[in-house]
Amino acid sequence: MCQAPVGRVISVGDKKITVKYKGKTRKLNSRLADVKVGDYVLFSLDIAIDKVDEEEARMITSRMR
Amino acid sequence: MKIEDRILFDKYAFPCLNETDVKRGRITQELADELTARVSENMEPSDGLEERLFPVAVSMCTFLARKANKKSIDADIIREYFLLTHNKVVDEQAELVRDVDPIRCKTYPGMVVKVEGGSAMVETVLGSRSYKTDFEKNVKKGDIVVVHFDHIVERITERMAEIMGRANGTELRKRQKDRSIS
Repeated sequence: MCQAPVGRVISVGDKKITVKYKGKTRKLNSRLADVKVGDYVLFSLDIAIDKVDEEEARMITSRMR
Repeated sequence: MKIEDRILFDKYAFPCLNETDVKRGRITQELADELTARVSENMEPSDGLEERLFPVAVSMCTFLARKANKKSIDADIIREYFLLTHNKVVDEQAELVRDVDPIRCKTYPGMVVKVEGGSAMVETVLGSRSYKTDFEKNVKKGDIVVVHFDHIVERITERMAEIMGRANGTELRKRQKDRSIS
């Protein structure tokens, strides 16, 4: 399967969220994922696809280095 | 969201099992082979397998289905994802994640130039290569197909191949088209 990158949510707006990924910010469509500031979220093509917990986020991030 | 045509989804998704899930130690080679053999016989795997093994593809299909006001992931949505969207996901992952081979991970339209036993030579933008025909057993010379890793996934129309080519920059070569006319 494809492994999506994971970002940390830094702001939540109307249908859009902003995440931080590798020091940069990205605006994502949040139609699929119900998240709040501080959550970790998988994303693909500027779409937030699923929330993950901190441990999983750390695991995914370490695999991607 | 429910996947209506799980066999079609699996035929598009399973070809990458060896390169990703097996390589990352998520599943064994034996299980990948068993799943591939089952879908070759049009047998559905256990419920929820796609969500566990292919969360990105399922989520992206869910997104496309909702955008189209559909309540489930049907064959059109599966093709919209794997033929028109998937290669962009691969490019993004190659840039951000860097653990995928973007060339092999993509889907390509191609033309069957020779059929031999359980495989067929297919010409795509990558050149002429041999692909397994276990997912689409009755291919013949001149058929337009879509390939993913080592498999022919299914036959598609020339029109679909053109749309796919324009979306992904993977056009059928001109000489392939000339050959189909002559």
